[in-house]
Amino acid sequence: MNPKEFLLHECRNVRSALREVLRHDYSAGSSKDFYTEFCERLDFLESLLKPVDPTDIRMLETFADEVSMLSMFVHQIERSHSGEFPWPFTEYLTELATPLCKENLTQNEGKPIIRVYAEGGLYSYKINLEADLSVLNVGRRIFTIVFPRTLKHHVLLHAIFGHEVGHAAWTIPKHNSDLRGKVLGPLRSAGPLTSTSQATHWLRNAEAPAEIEDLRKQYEAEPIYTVVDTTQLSYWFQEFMCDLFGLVTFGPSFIAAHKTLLLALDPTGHRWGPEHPPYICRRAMLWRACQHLGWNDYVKAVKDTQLRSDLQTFLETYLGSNAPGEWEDVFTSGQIATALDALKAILESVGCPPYALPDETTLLPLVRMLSDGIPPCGSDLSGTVKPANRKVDFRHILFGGWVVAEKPAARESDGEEDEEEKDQFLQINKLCELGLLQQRAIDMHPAGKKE
Amino acid sequence: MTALEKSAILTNIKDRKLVVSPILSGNQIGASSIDLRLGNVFLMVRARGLSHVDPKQFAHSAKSTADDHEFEQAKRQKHERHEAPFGQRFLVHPGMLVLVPTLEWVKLPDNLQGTVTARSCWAREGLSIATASLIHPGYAGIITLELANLGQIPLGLYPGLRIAQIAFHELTGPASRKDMGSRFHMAFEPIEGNVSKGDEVFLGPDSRS
Repeated sequence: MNPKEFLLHECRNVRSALREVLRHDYSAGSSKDFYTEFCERLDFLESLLKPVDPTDIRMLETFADEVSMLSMFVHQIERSHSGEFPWPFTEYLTELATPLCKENLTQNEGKPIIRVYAEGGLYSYKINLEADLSVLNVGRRIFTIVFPRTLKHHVLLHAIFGHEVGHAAWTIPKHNSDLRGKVLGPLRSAGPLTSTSQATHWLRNAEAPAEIEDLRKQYEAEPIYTVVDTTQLSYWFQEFMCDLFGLVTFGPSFIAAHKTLLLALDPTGHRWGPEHPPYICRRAMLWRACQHLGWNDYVKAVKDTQLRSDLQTFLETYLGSNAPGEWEDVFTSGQIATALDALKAILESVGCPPYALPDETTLLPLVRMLSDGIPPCGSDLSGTVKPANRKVDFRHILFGGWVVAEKPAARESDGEEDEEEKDQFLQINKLCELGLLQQRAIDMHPAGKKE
Repeated sequence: MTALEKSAILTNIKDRKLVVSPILSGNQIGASSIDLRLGNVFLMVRARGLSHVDPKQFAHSAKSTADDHEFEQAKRQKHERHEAPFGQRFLVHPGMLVLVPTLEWVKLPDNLQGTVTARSCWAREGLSIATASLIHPGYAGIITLELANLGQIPLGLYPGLRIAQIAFHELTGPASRKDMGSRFHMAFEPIEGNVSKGDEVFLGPDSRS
């Protein structure tokens, strides 16, 4: 069997596997889109491969990559069991991201095909949008959402997907130029990261924390490392942009998930690398961004004293009450304000509304429900003959969850719970997960739609 | 014990003593009961799972550690778990037993007991619901329904359908907190019970010793 014959054989294997995976539940929704798309890709690939000269090595290499990619996509379906990730959250997330990822492509109004699966590891949170349409000249991109398997129920942490949506938007040409110019432009216009030489100087600054300095020396000892190059700076700015993306799309719950996950992986907040700036710089930027968004004023205006106190605790825990230190404060408030406003305008222009903080009459019932051990949603608990359930933005539910997660134990312990029940954070996440499911039902029901 | 009629049920809800959330429409509340909807998790016995249910195996579990591979594997292999989004059908075949949660979160005060029964329209199709129908005072969580198809043809079920109803009975006095403790407190989805709990003495010597 020569390489060309083997590739044709592998195309048949992929087709067979594609049929085989129809046994599995394809995430939240139909498998038809995915199946049809991949049948078409396989048909096209075979039609291109058959006339290829068996000695044309370069063409065969290209086709080997294509077949391999199709095989990888199909195999991941086997890990796309809807029991391994929270599909109500996934549905809300895809509704949020789809307008952003819609393109002027040939089929299905340019909507991407959503694929969801779970992987091991805390680094698993990912959203990938097929970067370049392949040689198969397909009409739709594959939009992949990856959850960490162990954090299935942790919907509060899933707010970190706001950052990942930013990476997906970055890969779409029509957004990329806007994001580079209007969002990153202001951030790159001043400060210590405006050029590679300034960034290098900044890292060598005597004010830099000791861990930053140690890591820099380690990197400089490696012969291939050139301190800060343009690629590194480009990656860093993409990370800053995606953090702003997360903030604008998910609001306070993003800040909390961001701090919880990133500090778990880097407790000092000082680690940095070619692709990621130090967490403390990202936190400093978010602190200034939240000032611009008026979160402190929002909290001060809350009338309910308990809720106001809970919100203050939340802000102090996840943002801190003090301004960032001088070294890590790499952007001015003005730069961040311009970038944020531009980002909000971009989102609004594509029908992906930025997150707006809830009014007190929306947030307070959610927090009270959670504090009483009831899944938070727009359910009417007043005991009226015709319940008036409300539409509630799923991100408000996450916000309420984080506010309660920071309170002292919300439930009285009767001393008979098992280890899982004693884990308040898990319980709150599970309540919020169920709240999202119930909110979905409220949104679908005709009585809810009227309101 | 007194059964609560509609206005008494609503008064208990209004006073935040009783929680049934969410109630999607007014017609879910009957003269003396509230309809319950099907949740989205289905736990069914796996064809290649356990050969039989032996209370001794559960007793063994009570003494075992978390790394007791044999027990944990048998427990996990007993059921298949499916999650179905809204709009997705789940078929219950004749003779099949499926554990499902309600969509609603139910929280009972210490003086009310719940009784779950089938909605008659589904019972007429052969669907038996809630063979363990008593919900104890102080319970909080989803309610696990034990569904069995007693008819001759498969039944298609969809998450969100109203399939059961819960009636409430007032106790002669509040239940004591000690008696209200339950393994299923704050249940989020169906789990298997422990059929040997408290009866280990009748199961003969521990086979491991």
